[in-house]
Amino acid sequence: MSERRLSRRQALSGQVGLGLAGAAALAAPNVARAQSSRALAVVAMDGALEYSALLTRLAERVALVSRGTLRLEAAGANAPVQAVQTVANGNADAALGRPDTLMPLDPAFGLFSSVPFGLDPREFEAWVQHGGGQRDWDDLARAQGIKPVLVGDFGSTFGGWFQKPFIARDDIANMRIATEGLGAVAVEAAGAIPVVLDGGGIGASVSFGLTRDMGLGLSQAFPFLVTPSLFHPQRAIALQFNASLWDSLSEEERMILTTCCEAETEAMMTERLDLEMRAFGDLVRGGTQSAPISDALYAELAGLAHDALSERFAASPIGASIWLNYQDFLSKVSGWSEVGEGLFTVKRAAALGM
Amino acid sequence: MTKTPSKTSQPSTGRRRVLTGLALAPALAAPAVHAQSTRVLTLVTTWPRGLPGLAATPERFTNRINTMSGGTLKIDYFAAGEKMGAFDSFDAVRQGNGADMYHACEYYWQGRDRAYNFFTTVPFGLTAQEFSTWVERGGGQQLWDRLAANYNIKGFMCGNTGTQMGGWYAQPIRSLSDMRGIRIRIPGLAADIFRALGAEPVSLPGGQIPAALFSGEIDAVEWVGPYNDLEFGVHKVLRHYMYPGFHEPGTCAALGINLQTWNSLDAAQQAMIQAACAAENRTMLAEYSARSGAALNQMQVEYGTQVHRFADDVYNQVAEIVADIMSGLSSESPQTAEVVQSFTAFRAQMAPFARQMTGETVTRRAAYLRTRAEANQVFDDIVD
Repeated sequence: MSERRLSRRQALSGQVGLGLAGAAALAAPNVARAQSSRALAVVAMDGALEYSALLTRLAERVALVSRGTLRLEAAGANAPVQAVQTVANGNADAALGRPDTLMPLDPAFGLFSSVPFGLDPREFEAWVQHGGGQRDWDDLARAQGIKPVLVGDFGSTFGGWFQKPFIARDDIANMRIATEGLGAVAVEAAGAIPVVLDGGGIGASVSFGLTRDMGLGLSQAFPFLVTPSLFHPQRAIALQFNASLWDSLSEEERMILTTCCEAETEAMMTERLDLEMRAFGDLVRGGTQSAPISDALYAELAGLAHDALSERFAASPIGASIWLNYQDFLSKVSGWSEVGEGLFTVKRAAALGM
Repeated sequence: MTKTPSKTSQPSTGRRRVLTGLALAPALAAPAVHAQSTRVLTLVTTWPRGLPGLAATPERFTNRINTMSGGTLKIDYFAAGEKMGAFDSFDAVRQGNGADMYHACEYYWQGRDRAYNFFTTVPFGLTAQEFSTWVERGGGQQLWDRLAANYNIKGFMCGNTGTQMGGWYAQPIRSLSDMRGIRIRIPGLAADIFRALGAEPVSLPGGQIPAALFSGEIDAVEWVGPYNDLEFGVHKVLRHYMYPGFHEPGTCAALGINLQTWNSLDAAQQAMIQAACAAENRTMLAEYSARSGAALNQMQVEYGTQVHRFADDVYNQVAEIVADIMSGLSSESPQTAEVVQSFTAFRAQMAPFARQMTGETVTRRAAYLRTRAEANQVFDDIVD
């Protein structure tokens, strides 16, 4: 962090407790508010444009709601682990990015962004807010000196882009498939070779979201879009605060930050769904062929992913515990999701001839 | 600035002092104490106090505002019946007489304008996230603003129950003729469906449902879903629970605020209300998503509730009735026609995508999990 920034933030900083004697003279029912002006430096966990736009919107909302007494200021970008360590060390106040990019610190961080064949965004929020997920997340993050708050989600993605329909597991044996996060564990368990997208020479790729796929050229390179969602049913984003800083915030400041983060999650989810829906229509009209995999192949891939993930999380004592909690919630929410939203969307499309 | 390499170290105390101004306090003479008057707004709801989900939402909303504002904006919250009757809240807010805001479902006001149905939910309509997307990105909010302005109100999404169950009946619904003659509590446009099928729909506030059910005034009920239906004890009277609901795929709870009151708020106060509504739109849905499965499980295991899936031909025939209802609505007024056109055009884009993304994913995953020992076995008891 530059000295110039510190100097500027010194000037921005207010003070608690000044002028109380004067304030006392103000007639009721006025509320005398001792307001500190606090600026929080936020470092992006990579340089993704989405993070920049998200942080801009969030900062504007926080500043408005707090009447300018609480501000989020962009403080550059860094590799995910380095960004979080910068925050934990107190050299920035928060890091913005996908929790699964922190898997080098503990594989269990992958459970808070995207799990193959796991929770979708709605279900993930249910787990975090009402199923014990936030407590697990806090415990995991506290060991790294950070406090996570959900602030967005890129949404669900389809299974991926292929040169031909994905009929059997043999179709991807030893195939280089572009993926990321825990998707790599599932891809490897299925017998393929997970690689990063810019590695070149791929035989297939998971979907990173249709709008992003189109920008990356995947929809031009591969004619078949394999459905339904497999490896990335969501991609959550969090704001990871310095844990001690978080503890020092007032109840009012914490409420402003959490409420604004939830509001931004709402804004991002609607934006992503709108864009993905339109991109899907464009792709279908442009000749992309939707290729659903069979129930049997879905079950086979899900089973292999489950076993591989269980083995991965067993290496982390806290990870093993959280993985059990995650699965327990998944099993409880899955039936309701099927009875409610899942079957409705299937039957609606059929009844409307879509 | 002290830099400590340990990843679990505390932040530099010195740096934190600098950033918050503590160390420089004596040098910063600018007063940080602001004297601001307290603006008090009265919030009334259509839900009985303590009802899980629906009533918890305005309670959390109130707490969010009262905490975020630091006392400069205060919400006084009253549940249904505490200050006025549930359905009196619309006129009270419209006239600014006794209430500034309500938390309710907009389809309760369909007697004023049938277009209000589209800002809660309509049969074969949109799921919760789809509805939010239409409102925020598909022009829905603008249409809602124009409609509500006719009544001096500004509306916001402030919660969603998610997809609802298809109602409680004395016998399973195997065909449309099974609905003939039943007296069912059901609000909104779904009432038109049941009326077309020869049933007698009744609109009652939620708090009056248990009494009507236990007294025999009604013989079938659509309320919300397992989470709320269990609370009301519907399962003690009716045994057969139908799914998936075709009538309310994503029921939005709204915050309506007197338009003059809204316009008189400053930018920060408006931003607080908007942020709290948006947050509650997610939190309420999360609550229903987390709790409904366990409640349904409990009904089946402890109380013998039988859960039945609507047959495809029932679903398809109801869809035809709904299409006729939509067509009729479009002829009621140009404004309603515009709402119907916007909504149905958005749904036409969404439905094929949602079927493959949400529908196929969720149903396959559930089938897979049922095969696993740790899966929730209660759903094996579902009768198709």
